[in-house]
Amino acid sequence: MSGTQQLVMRIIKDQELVIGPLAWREAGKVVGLKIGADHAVKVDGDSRSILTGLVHQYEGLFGPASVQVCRDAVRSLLPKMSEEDVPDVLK
Amino acid sequence: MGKKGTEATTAEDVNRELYVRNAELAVRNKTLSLLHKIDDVTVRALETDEMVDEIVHALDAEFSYPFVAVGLCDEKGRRLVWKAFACIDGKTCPFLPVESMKPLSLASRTNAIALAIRSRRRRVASTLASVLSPSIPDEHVKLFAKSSRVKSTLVLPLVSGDRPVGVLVVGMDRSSRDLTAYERDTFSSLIGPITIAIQKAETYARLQRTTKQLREANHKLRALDAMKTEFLSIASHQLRTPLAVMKGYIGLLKSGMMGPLVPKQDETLGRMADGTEQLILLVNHLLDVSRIESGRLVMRLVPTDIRGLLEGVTKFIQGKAQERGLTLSCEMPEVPVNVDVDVEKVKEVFMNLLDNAVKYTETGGVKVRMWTEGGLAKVSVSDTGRGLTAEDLEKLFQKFVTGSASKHVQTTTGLGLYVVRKLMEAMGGTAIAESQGTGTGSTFILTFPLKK
Repeated sequence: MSGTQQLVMRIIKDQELVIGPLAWREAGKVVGLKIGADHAVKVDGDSRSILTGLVHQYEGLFGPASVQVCRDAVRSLLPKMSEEDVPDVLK
Repeated sequence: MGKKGTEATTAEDVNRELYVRNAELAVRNKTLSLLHKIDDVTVRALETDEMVDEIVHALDAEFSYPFVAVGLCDEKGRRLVWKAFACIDGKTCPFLPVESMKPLSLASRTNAIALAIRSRRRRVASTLASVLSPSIPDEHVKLFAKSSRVKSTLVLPLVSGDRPVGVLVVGMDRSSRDLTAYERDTFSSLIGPITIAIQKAETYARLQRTTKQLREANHKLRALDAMKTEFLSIASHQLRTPLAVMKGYIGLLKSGMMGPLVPKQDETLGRMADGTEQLILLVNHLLDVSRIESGRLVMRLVPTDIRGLLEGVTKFIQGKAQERGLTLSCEMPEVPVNVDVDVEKVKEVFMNLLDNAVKYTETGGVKVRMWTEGGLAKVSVSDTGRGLTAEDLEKLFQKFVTGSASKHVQTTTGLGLYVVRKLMEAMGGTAIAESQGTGTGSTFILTFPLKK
């Protein structure tokens, strides 16, 4: 699993803890993300824009608190990621 | 803004507010789930080392920290001993296993752990050396700092009341300001249960140590007791033969068969005879005690009408009672009282009680009574002597214990009543004492199961 996939999975799973299965449905609407029936995640495209799209998808529905949940979700993974793959919204 | 627009804004606000609440609940749920995991570890693991090791690994797995460690203060609170150290990648910890890490002096003025424990406050250390040195060599600290990418280390003292118990150390690959809500919640909720769990494990360890020490002491005492019993047995047997010889010759001298005696010689021989009797009594009691305690007491139980035995002993003591100016009466059933007993042992029991009654009574008399009641044969020996205090009644049948009245008599070993009770128990009976207190006399009651 790539680093970006790990970040996406962590964000969706933590959002699922807050809003339930809706987290997966909303993630499926993000351009460049494909969510399989078994919650398998496929990333196709630029990491930064996909991650930004995902964060904004939740933000559009639930406001700034959802951005904080995304940030907290990936906090422990960021030190292992390369700087250019992480969008500013998660830093 | 129209009505519809206002309604939409309100719904959005409600939605966002609900999200905030749910996010808080989600953090709480995660924390509770982790606490449950830790709680499960603390309930399952009894040994301190095993428990803290599982705790640090559970935390490390949950948060992917470069390392998590626990150290415990020693009993005097002077040193911190490392108990568990978990790294994301074990290969990056050249100083492990944890047993090879040196204890840390809590008097240190530079070490972040010593400072946190002394101040009872959490601290953040920016360098690994200020946490791990001098527990591990400097070159290992440098290597570990490089490979683990630790940027800050959180030092959380574990304190019970005002007593420092130990420390939880968390090495992070980011700034301590970047702690998530979940992490903050976890650390504040986890410190208390971990401290209690460690104390529980330490109490268990102390209990184990004490039990082991007691078991060893008990083993030594048993060995000593066996040696003492063996010594008593040998010494008593060796003493009995010369005593019997002395008793015989004193009897011969006193009877005048070896020539007439002047009154002073007769009086002296009388004292010698009393002394010899006392020694023989003591030796016999010691022999009984050694047989009882070594499990060598052999009972030959035969059906016996114990009226004859009691009558015989009463007659034997009659002379001594008369010498002391006491009355001695004996009341028995007219029908046989059949009991399974060892004849010689029962005689010894009767002799002990009657001899004691006469010995401890100065005026009045001794009343012996036998009767049957509820499937039991009972024998009581009542006297008008000095009586027994409540304290006497509590301890009277113990080994080497004499009653408060014993200071008024010369011949007492402190073993007679102990032997009486042990012999009675060996025959399936009991021996008890009753008294209303000093000056009221006392009654000793024996019970034997009647032969069906």
